[in-house]
Amino acid sequence: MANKARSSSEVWGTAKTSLAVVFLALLYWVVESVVDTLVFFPELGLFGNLLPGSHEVTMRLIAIFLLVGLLLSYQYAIKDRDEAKKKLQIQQTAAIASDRLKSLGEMASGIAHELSQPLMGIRGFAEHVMLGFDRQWDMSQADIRKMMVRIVEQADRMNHIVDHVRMFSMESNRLEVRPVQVNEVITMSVELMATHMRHRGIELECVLAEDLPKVSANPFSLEEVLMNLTTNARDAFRKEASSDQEVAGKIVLRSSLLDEGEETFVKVEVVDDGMGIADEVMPRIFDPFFTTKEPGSGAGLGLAVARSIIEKMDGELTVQSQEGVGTTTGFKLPVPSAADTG
Amino acid sequence: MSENTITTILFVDDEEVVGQVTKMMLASLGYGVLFASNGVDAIELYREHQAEISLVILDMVMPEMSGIKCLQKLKEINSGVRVLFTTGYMQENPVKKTDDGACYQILTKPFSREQLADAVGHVLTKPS
Repeated sequence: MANKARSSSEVWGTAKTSLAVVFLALLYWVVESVVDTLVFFPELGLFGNLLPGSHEVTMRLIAIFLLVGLLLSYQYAIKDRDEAKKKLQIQQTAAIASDRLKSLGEMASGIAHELSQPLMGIRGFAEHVMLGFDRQWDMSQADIRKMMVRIVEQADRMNHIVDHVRMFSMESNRLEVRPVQVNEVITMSVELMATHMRHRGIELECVLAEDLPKVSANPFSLEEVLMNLTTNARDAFRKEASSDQEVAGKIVLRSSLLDEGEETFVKVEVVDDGMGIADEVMPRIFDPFFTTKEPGSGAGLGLAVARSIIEKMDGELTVQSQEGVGTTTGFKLPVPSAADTG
Repeated sequence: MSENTITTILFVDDEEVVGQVTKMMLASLGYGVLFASNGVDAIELYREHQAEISLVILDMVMPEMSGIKCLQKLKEINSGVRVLFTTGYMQENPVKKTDDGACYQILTKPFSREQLADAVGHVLTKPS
């Protein structure tokens, strides 16, 4: 989509410049002919001088003019292309940054919940020890140590979550790849999203293939893709579970090994039984800024950015959907051959 | 304090550390505590100890059975069951209104011993 936009802009820029130069050359020719005819050879008439074989200087001038025009138009075309490329890069960077903020925003509620559990443990154990001292409860050294151990455990748990968020915000825009076990990325994403989804009446289920080979990927970018796809799947359910309703829907995250003869892939699918995508909307789902969600619910960048991330890792992202039945969004990443992994 | 004056509370939460800390808090406040880590076990415990349980503290978001669903089942056993909800999510309204029009107070996690004591005291002294 972006390439198409860039090439039409370049073609139009080049065409405009070339047309302008050719128009100037022709204008010069006509003016020169008219002046020659009226001033120097009035007996030949206006049209008798359109191709004046004797006017070699004029023809040379026109040829030089055209040549200079073509050189200028070429130079302008290169400049136009570079400017368009630069503009596109700025737009893409802004879009990716905006999408990452959205992913972090989506994570925020889950992160707050995940942090609240160990925080409550730390506060509760520490308060208990403090009250024990203040009120001279009968607490043995061993009891106090046990509670201190739990406090350290819970602080480590919080640290792990904070580290993960920090890495996500720093690393997910980097291009470097490393061997990654996709199932671990799925598990980490689900850990951060499951409670948040459950809060909205949606169950997340993982169906993970065992013994999957590693793929070359940036695990944080993959996590960003999974969050985008899962958030889209969540939004496919028309509404959240009503107050007393048990479940609004279910999203399944599935991993599998895909053997396509010469190449092997790890495939990941996010399957929902939500409202599906209408046929007329399908051709536009990868268009940046295209969204069917309510204003303010998303910039319409999720799928475009997800596809761009997967393609950078030599993978492919696909969407299959049937209106009223559900949607399966998935991607496959090539398994490096033994020669690739050295 | 004689044994028959102890107020027993059933605390339900799927998070182990929250369960452990809250049990300690409730015990230090002088309550008897029963603990269940999911809705199914909570219903079973309530059925067995209905006569002695004065209050059920229920986590709203739990796997398999949500706090709301658990409340519906508890109400089938005892329509007058006293419940205090807890949640790890910020709530715009600290009161949960169910489809039958009943209102339940929500205590947001993480809560302190003092906040827990206030909320429990409030629900227990509220006319049923």
